[in-house]
Amino acid sequence: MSARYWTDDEELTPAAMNELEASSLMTFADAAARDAFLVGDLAPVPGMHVFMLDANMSLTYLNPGIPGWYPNPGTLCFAAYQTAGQSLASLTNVALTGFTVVAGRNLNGWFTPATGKFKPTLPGLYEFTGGVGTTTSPTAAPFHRCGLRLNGTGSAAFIAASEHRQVTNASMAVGFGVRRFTLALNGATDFVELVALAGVATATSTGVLASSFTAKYVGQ
Amino acid sequence: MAKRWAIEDKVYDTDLREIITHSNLVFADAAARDAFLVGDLAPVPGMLTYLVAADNLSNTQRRIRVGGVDYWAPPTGMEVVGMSPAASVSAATGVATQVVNMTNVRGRNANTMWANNQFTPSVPGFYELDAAVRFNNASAADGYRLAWLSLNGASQVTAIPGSGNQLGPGAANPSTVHTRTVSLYFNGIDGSYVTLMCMHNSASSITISGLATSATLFTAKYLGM
Repeated sequence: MSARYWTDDEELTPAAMNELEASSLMTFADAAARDAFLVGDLAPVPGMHVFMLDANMSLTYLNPGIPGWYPNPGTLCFAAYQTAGQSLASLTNVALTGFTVVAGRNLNGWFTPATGKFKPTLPGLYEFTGGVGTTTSPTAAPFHRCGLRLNGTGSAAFIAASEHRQVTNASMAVGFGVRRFTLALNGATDFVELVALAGVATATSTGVLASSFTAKYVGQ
Repeated sequence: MAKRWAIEDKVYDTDLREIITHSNLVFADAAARDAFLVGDLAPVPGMLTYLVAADNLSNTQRRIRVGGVDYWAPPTGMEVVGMSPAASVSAATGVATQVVNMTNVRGRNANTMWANNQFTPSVPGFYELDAAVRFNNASAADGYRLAWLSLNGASQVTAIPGSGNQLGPGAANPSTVHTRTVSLYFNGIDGSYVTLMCMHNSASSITISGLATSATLFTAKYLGM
């Protein structure tokens, strides 16, 4: 499947028509129809585009180590928020759990709402946003922070560059977001969590200050 | 739909027209597109068009069908709206205040989705929403500063869950509070809308800055279906 320049003496053969089909924006009812059709000399090759009618989503076949149908850059993977408070022990990294996804969006089931882990099966760059709301803030020197954690537990896997650290001096509810952050994930073992650390024992908020977490695919 | 060609198949002009419907079609502008895509070339879901008029990606549009209704959808990841207040807004103490006087400062208002200080998506899909509010009074150092996004209302009750951030103010400087980035699905037909909200408990009213400092900003991106 590559671009072709047609000369005056050439005939439009079925093989040539198949070439045209393969390099056009092919439309299929669903994944099953696509996979049944794209075999043999029309087997998927990198760069092939399809549009899935059931999902209203265009996909591109790529093979950056793991072959597959990749979404368009900018496609939302999931958006989620907490509907119940979660206890945060003092000065302890706590992975946020118990999420509810917005409008049922959970691309390929990569996000597990109960555990708060995002583990895509296609490698690439993923952009994360999110943040934490707490019912109280420190009244003195301790701080609150939130950020992303990659493949691990405790502080060792915490990505400091994603961190938002908040020093407060009044006893009030606070909310603050992580830095919008992009990570390259391998599509096999990598997973990402939203982590909070509270300066004093408190709990996450619900409602307007609820802790929230989103990811979108942003390319290779 | 894609077609597999066999050796005995003949190619007719209708076959070539069918391929055209799922190629990347280029038109001078929307009027030219609408005039061309009629009859057996009428728009079908999956069709991709590029409109030369503005010569940027905002004019790359994909045909989608949702609930039996067809739309030209913008590309995923594209900012569709970017608004800041043209004039400052006064926020009274302890009152949920809608940020108004918003104007198109970034040349982005696809399908006029922003009007009357509200964002009302008219194309189905997920939208990523971001905003910031600048509380401009340097001397109002007490209390909290809260900014959030509301869905179909103008109170904390209608807040989009997890959209808010609340911080203490700077001791002697204006404070800018960013809302949390959230993504929501809109069906494009029920008129659901989003407003930018703020609140504080300073001892006196606070001015939300306008274009002169322009830290107050609302943006929306289309993230596809």
